[in-house]
Amino acid sequence: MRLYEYQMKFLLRQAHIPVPEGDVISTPDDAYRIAVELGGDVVLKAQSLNSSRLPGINMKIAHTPAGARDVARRMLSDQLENQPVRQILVEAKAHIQQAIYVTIITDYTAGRPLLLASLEGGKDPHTMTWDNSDIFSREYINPVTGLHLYQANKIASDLDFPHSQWRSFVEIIHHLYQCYVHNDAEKIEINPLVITREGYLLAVDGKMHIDPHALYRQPQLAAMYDSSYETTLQAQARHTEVAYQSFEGQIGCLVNGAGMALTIRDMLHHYGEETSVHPACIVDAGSSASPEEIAAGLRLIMAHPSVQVGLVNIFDGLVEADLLAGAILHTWHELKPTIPTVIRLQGSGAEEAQHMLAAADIPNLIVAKTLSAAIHQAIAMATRSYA
Amino acid sequence: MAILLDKHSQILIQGITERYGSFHTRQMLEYGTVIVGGVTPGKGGDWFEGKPVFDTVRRAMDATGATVSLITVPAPLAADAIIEAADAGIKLIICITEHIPLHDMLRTRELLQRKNIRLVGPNSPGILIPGVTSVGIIPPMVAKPGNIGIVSSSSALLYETTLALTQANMGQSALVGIGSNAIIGMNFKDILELFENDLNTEKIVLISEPSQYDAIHEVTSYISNRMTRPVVALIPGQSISLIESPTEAKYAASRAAALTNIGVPVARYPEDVSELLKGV
Repeated sequence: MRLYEYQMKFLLRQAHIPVPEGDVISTPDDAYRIAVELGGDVVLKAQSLNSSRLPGINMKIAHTPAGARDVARRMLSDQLENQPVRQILVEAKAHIQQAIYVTIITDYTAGRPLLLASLEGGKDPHTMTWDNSDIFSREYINPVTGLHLYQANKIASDLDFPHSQWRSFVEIIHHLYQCYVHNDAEKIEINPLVITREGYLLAVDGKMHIDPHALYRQPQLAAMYDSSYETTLQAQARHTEVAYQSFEGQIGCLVNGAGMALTIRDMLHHYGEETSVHPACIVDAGSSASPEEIAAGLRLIMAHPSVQVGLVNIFDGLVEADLLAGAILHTWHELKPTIPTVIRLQGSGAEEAQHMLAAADIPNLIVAKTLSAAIHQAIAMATRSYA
Repeated sequence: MAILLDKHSQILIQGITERYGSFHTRQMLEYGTVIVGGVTPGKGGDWFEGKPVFDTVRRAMDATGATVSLITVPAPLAADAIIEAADAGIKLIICITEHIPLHDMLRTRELLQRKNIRLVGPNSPGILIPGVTSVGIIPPMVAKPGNIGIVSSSSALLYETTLALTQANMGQSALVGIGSNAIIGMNFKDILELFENDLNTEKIVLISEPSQYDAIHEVTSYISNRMTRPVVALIPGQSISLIESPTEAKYAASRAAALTNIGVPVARYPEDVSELLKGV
């Protein structure tokens, strides 16, 4: 889960890492009010979960409160990454003497957190590759013992860090690691961390990603999730913990596991290309799908606006196929969909499941025995309804 | 002797009384798996499917001599269950739990690496040695005994491919699901190494979901430098358009190319694997 910059700065402040003074606003008048409170030049930053910082576009400087109000008005009527801007972070402008890059990422191959720092901060990190050892000082952290003080000192030494700010820098690294651990972060990046003209260290911008599977024990972070950009179906998928992707084709697919989701797309592409049949959506109920997840998945594909044919392929290990067939029939009777749907259930209890589905005698529910039979049947039906 | 397990392996089930525990315990027992007991804290002294339940792994080991543990407990408690098994001296831990928090797994993997312990998973469907034993949730009907070893990071594709091979009369020596999580125990290379040294395995199938996590170069360099047994791969996602899903498309393409470059035939669909196996 990605966080907005203002949310990340709230967490940094909680972790005793200094950030510029300011507040997040959603009206031009509030921008004026905050600019008055801060005094002096302010920076206005349009908040977005995806885009990088683009000075002059989503980040502007205002010299007066009235100027801040004008900038805010223009930003709030703008779009970023095709989405309306709803929130702006208004902050006191820092006088930057030196920009530093410092981040903790999770190195999945090594299975350890990796601390990276560079004196070339402020650049777009997409142009810097973290395995370029020329730019970065790096230190792996043992997740059991945590970050040692000497490791922070080593990073400062590698960077040839100014002695007058040495101690503050080492403390910030220590707090950054605490922030990474306590918030179940996947990644936390400060870019830039600046040394101000006055000699203070300040985290001016950054990014933070949270492990979605830890949100059950992170109520503060769970509450930060912004659902305002989600479609109804996306929100439904999130609440029922299934993965949902929407496309523009005709076939609504329900499968279990990311590998199977890709295979279904491969096969539809291969066999459906000639007749212009494509997926409308792919719902992945998880590698081990429960009856509840299957029911939720079926509701999602039936609710998708462009679905003309449903395709359910579940090969589950955890739950017997006949239990899943029961969940499908229960949901079917509740929704009474008119969309023709091919269902293939495999695994333990598959024969019983096929028998149950056939015995239900539903005209638009077609039982298939193999994956390729299911694919061909769904494509044939979509082609027919298409023509 | 197959890899990781044999017919004498004595299995403990941590979370034996959980939601799906009874069905899978019954199914494994039916297959001939030697389940010696289960662990559910606070339920020690109970019996489940005719097997004794213990409060702790240590007590269960003392009473039964178990050396392998299957972990089915819910995600918030799963990392603790793995560490408990490791501290008690279990040598092979198989974890099927999904969605364990990242930081829990970072600490757990670090602790396990200092001991000589094998972890399969988490989010693994388990291990099945056809005709011998099954530890996990792989539907036993997909498999039959033979000499093809299968290692997969995708559960559904493991079942689908194995079923297709069985129908093509190509039996298997072992099925291992390593899970698709970011932080796992044994990886592709670890399992390939076991297959390479296994007398019952002649050919190997590697099934890999495109993932940013595992190091494909470690796998390809092991295959090309060390392996004598032929390997065939199944990589899903190769037909996906770069515009629709750039990340998945890129990973699938680069993975397929890395394997093709070292002479490993790469299938796109589960049903194509048996033909490729005939050619190696």
